[in-house]
Amino acid sequence: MDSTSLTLTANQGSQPQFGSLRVGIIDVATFDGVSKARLLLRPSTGDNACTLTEGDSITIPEHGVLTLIKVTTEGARSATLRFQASEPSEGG
Amino acid sequence: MNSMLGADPEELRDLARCALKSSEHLAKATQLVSGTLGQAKWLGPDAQRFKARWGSQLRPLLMTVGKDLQEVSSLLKQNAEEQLRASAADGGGTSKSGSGGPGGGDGQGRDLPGNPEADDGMGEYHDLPDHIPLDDKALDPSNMEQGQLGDCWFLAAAGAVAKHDPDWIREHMKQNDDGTWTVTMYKNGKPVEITVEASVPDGAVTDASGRDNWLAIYEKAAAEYFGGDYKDLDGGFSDNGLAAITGKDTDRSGQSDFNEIDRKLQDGPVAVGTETKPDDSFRWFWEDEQIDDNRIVPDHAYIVDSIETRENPDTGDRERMIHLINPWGPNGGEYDGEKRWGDIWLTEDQYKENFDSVYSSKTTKD
Repeated sequence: MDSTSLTLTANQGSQPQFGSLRVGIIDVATFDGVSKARLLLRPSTGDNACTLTEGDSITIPEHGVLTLIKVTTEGARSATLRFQASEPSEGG
Repeated sequence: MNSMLGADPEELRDLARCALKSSEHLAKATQLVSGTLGQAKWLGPDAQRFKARWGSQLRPLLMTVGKDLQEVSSLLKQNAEEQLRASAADGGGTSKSGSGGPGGGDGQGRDLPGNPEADDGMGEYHDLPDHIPLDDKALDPSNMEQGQLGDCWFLAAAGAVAKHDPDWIREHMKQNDDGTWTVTMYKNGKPVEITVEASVPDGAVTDASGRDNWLAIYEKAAAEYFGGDYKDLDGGFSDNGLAAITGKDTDRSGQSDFNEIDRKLQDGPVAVGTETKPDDSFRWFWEDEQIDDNRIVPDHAYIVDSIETRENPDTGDRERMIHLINPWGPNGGEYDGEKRWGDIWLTEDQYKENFDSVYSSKTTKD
């Protein structure tokens, strides 16, 4: 079965949701040409803050893979995120 | 000679957004200077003079200009809606469902139901359940999860009102026979009915369990009220949310101390806003190895729940602490209770290190 992918852009301070995974966008910044986002991953097992650089991905067990596509710091600060959901495991 | 009167509503709305964004930039710049000035190791008579001038003249002046820009933004939005209605009455122009805004709609003070935008980037729309609970548990301000929008300022305002006076919320939203919902908000202190269809996008606010709730309806009504588009809620100030929800006099002030916040809490709903981090301070999260123990989101609004004397878990001492609720909501999983992001207890010093704005409204219980 193909896994599902969702890409969206959300402002700093918002909390987009990918399936059942909430992701708080704590902060975004660009320094010396490098752009990063501080994210709060909120699976049901507990909150976990992490920092991603543009292009970085992080695997969230039982949810999927979250990638920081782009950071925008001019005007409204935002992060573009892509989420690739895990393929459901076989039953049985 | 060009004798054309009126304006292009879309241009007016763009201008309104520009004015509002400029107001936000100004507010952030003001906060940035205040924060930097507060942390700067600058001593002596020059420092004293500038700090005094900043606090007594420059900062208030910038805040006044910011408020003026907000008012201009509201006026432009209103003009855009009037222009749309005029064009529609002439049989020309276009009108989209749900773009009424305050005072717009059917000419009888009601807004026409609809979805704010068909292509608003908020995801697919889905129907609301037949029953939206409005009991005290449903209206508890910790029972929310902000969604894809940067509308913490509005959610913090709505949550603060629900905490202060849940009956106010219950009395200001009703489901109609055709399934639509009507929310009564206020423009310049006068009631405005906003009617919305019983559907919300997937990116909308939910309750703490991820279910559609009363806030999703209020958020949709606010999207129409503040311009007709969900993105009109992306960024703002909680005093504007409080004014729209309560119609009462509101106040926006600087940091304030616990006594002042407690006094405001006795008189009505209160929300607080965090500082914009000075330019260099973002380096706190630059190193991946660095553990972030701050748990406070910059440029974010929180609901003030209470100020109480309690044991500070960090020191074991009893001291006054403020309890703040993050619109991001709690996390239901097992986790170290001292490191939650959904709500935080702060000492007065911790509060003052991170927050620089207090938003309040007069009570709705009179």
